[in-house]
Amino acid sequence: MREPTFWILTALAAEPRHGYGVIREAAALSGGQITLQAGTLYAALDRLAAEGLVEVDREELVDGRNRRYYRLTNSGAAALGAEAERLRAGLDVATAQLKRFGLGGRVAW
Amino acid sequence: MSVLSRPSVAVDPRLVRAYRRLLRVYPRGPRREELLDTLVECAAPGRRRPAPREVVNLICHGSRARLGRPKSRGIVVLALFVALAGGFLGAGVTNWLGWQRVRPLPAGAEIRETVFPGLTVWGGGDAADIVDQADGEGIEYGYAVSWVKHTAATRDVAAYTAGVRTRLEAAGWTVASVDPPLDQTDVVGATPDDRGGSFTATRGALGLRFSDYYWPGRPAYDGDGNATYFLWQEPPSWLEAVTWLGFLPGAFLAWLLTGWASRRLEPNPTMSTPAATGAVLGVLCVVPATLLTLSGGGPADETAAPSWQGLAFAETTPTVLFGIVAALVLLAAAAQRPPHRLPQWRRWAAKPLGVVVRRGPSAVVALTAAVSLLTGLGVYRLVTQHTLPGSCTPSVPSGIVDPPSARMSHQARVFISARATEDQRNLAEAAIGRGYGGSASFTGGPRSSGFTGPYCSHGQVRAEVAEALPRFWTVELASPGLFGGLAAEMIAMPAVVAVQHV
Repeated sequence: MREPTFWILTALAAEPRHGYGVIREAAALSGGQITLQAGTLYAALDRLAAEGLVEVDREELVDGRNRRYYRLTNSGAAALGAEAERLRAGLDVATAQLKRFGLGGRVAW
Repeated sequence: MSVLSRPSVAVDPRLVRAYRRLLRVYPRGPRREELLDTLVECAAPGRRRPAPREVVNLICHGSRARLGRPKSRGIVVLALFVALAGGFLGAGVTNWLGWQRVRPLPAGAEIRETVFPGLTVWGGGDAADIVDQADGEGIEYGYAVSWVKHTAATRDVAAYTAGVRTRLEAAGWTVASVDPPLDQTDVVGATPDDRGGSFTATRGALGLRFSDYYWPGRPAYDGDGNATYFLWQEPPSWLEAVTWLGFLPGAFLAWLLTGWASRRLEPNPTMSTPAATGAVLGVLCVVPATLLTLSGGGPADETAAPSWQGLAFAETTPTVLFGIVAALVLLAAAAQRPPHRLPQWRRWAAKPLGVVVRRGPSAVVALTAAVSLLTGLGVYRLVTQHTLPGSCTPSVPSGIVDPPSARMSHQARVFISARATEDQRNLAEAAIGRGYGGSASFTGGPRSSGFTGPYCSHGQVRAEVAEALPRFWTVELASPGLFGGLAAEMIAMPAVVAVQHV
């Protein structure tokens, strides 16, 4: 799973959000590490929708423009869970290795 | 950070307009408005135009969105190849348009009189800009060949070649290259007295190659060589730029069409596979042919194969195949969702069918009977005209036949009586060589394939009639103007009954 995909799924985990909502939430959750471009976001949303990981939650009319909200599906939650597990496993291995290097306890994250 | 800022209350209308223009990269649909909403919300206050990074991002993802199938990577690869093929075809079209600006070869006597003053010159005339030579040299710049039979002056090869050079330089030509002396090492039948001289010259957009060969040891019927010059039009310097100008619009259109077809066929996987196969075949028609063309080239002389300059001509055949395949794919795509309301002409076309269906079975039977009758008659006509002996009365040419329609043709036929002796035939064949006839293939009798071709456009000739028909050589001329010299040489030969420019 690529990083933007990971953060989009993460941003949608708590509640359904529209495009700008996802961009803002991903930026906030990643501590400003991720700045999603609108084009990238919607390309990812299309792909995730085709894979059944997200779906349209509802549409609202705001300032004359249709605003579409997306939500995580059960498969999406499972995929995000699996990815988080994979990252955690990687993190555990890296931390253990660093301890052997002598940096245990001093790792910044 | 802009993405974290609150949506600006009053967005500059210029920014909204710029975003709207940019969002046309995306296919028509609600996604454009959705993106606009997001972009406007993300925009920092006071911004008047999209950031360059945004522009690039939207163009990339919008072009991708045009292809549909968000999960597929294959569609991107396919679309890239189709766009490449489309670009080559676009370049081919502008290349062809560019060649339309190239002037015909000069028809006056000025060059002829400069090279061969006071001699009877055969050949000359015009030639197509690019020709596909049947002698194995493939696609070349079109050229016109002029030649003279040897005189005492031209047999002195070194002196005559030097004289031609001096006269051409005085007439404004620049000698571009002089060929090394004749090397007859390992040449069968060569004699120490053989002589040859040749050089290439240019004047403006014209190229000229002169050569003088003298073979004193050859038998009389083969001739002792000749002096010739080739004349061709150098492609203009702007042709390359003009050619590639067509690449981008061609690639762009091909991308749009691929996207359109892909999105239309997306709901139907059964149709998608043959359409994708067709598209791959279409790409295979164009891309390798173009790449082969581009790898050719080199400095122009009368045998140079043009590279990008001949693109339009090199692509003629693959383009037809590509066109057929593309049309089939697009038809399949168009058939996916027929419009609710048929266009006027299709409603008119459907009307008679509706009448037939309403009138019931009798009308259907009558229609089927009429179609069967017409088909039967057509098949009968086809069989009787094409396969029954005697369905063709052959028309045999006589004398020199050079119709205006053959003015630019590189092919000629030499007819010799069916009763000609073997000697007469051999002498005639030698005369074709003497008359600058190039490669000649002989069709020796009714059992040879294609024997009745020159006499009948269709149908069969009765066996005893075919037996009496003249035999013929099919001659590939190096340039169309050479027909006159060949005809003059051949018609004087015993048993030769006709020389035809076809």
